[in-house]
Amino acid sequence: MNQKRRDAALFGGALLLLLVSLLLSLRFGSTYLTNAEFFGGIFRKEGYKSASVILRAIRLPRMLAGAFAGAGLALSGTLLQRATDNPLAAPNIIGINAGAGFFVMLSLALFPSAFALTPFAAFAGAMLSAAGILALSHKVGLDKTAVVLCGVAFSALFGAGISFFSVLDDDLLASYTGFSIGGLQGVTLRELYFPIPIILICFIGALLLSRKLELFCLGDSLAHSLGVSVKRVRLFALVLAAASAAAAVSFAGLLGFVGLLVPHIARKLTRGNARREILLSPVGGAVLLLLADLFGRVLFSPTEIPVGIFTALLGVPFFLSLLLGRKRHA
Amino acid sequence: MLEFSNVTVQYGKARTVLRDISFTAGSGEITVLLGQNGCGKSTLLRAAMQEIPCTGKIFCDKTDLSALSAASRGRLISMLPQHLPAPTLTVRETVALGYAPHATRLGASEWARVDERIAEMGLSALADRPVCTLSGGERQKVFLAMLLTQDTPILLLDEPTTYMDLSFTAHFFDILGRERNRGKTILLVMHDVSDALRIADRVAVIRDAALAFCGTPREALEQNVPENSFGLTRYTAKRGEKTVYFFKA
Repeated sequence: MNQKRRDAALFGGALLLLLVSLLLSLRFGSTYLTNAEFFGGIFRKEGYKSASVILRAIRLPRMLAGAFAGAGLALSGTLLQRATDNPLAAPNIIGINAGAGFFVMLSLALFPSAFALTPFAAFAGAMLSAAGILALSHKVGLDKTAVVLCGVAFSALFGAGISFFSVLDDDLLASYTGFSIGGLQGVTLRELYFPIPIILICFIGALLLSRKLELFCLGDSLAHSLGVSVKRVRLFALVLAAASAAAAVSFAGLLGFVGLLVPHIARKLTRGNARREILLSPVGGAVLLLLADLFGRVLFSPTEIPVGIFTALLGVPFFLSLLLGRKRHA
Repeated sequence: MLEFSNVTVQYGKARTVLRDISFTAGSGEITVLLGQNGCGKSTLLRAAMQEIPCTGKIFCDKTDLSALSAASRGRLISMLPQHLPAPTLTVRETVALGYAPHATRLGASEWARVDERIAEMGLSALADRPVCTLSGGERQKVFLAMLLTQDTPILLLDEPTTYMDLSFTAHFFDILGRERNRGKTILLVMHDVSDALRIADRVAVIRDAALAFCGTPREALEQNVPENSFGLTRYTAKRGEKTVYFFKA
């Protein structure tokens, strides 16, 4: 099959899957709606008020949250793996999880009843932590190893801070656990007004950088020789990765796994082309998180299984089958 | 033309890797940089690429290379580094990346040129294979093809013959000769003194962080540079009418 046909099949399939996932996420949930209720609720027909409330106030925000959290984290992972040329890179290596976690812990400790602060604390923490790591690694030349090592150091520091607060106060630990497991329950549209545009801007920025990021797989020296300002492009990519993951974490909690797994899947399917990978990875992240959330809501209804568990259950077998399939073909 | 003018490279304050290097690698010439391991040859190439900071100036036909944007630099000067990556891209896709600084949309003629470069390296049968599955020597050919696709007036090559077999090395020297005749400035780091003196138009030797010699191969032979700088013994052989020199430790 030639490249154009392959692309059409791949992206057509991915978009179709996204559309189906979005629809399923809206259609099914812990409350069963008949077809009449579903369409009545969507079009706000008379007599379907409760269905309309469920769809508009609960399922629509949750669907958008799932799609954008998955997209944001997967995009972040792709950018990080590209910029550091490290297949193990995920949002947590630039301190997103540890930074967000620590600041959420701090806000819970200082303002125990102000839960509305959590998303802002998460976003600010993730961004501050990433900024600290980037500033520090910039001092030592912003090479790819420096970024990873500074990330490990910052994560250890924030991790220690989180443990310190957990030991001090059991209630604090209980409030923090919900955030650290991550999930999409209870997300409101208002919470998404700020993160969604950030994720979209990061996506556009990533597409603009894709041609240059493509060359990073050749190592810094050859990328430089091919006319790329390696440090500048790496810095831009890392800032976009940080902002995109921080925006996702702010409303979905710590779902770092998506950011590691989906970029790999996207890379295998796009055979290493950066632009196609940046296009496919967010779609893949959105589909994975939407389906994982759907299974979590529906399978043991009314008990909800955290989305992280189904992300692993759905994503890992798919990823492993790709990995093994490639080995067989090689 | 690539002109080094009083180039000094320091790692921190304590270690001077290169001191006050001045010489010119001319257009339409092959200049070979010789020296012991760790003497700073690769560092000089990286300084020319603006990859590491240095004092002094490096010019290309009176243009200060440090004043250029990354993209303009990529159209003027390119380098094959010593350590080569193993990307998952195919040979064809990798060679086509040579067009990156030219920001060209790859049409049929560009792809034809890519295929031509691949064929020239004897890699046509491997064109659709991922580079990460190739041997060291094959990867070296892939990146040479990429460099030739980039087609910059100045080419820097850091030990390009390390993994090449003898017959391909001869073919590679022919390719270098062709590029020289097209007016390119070629600066390459090599360890084989016999080959260097045979193919070079100019030889530069770095010793103790400074330029110890710069001149034509004939001058190097007259001044016993291989013997004095590298402790080599000279052997002479007759190839028809021609006297051939080779050197061994």
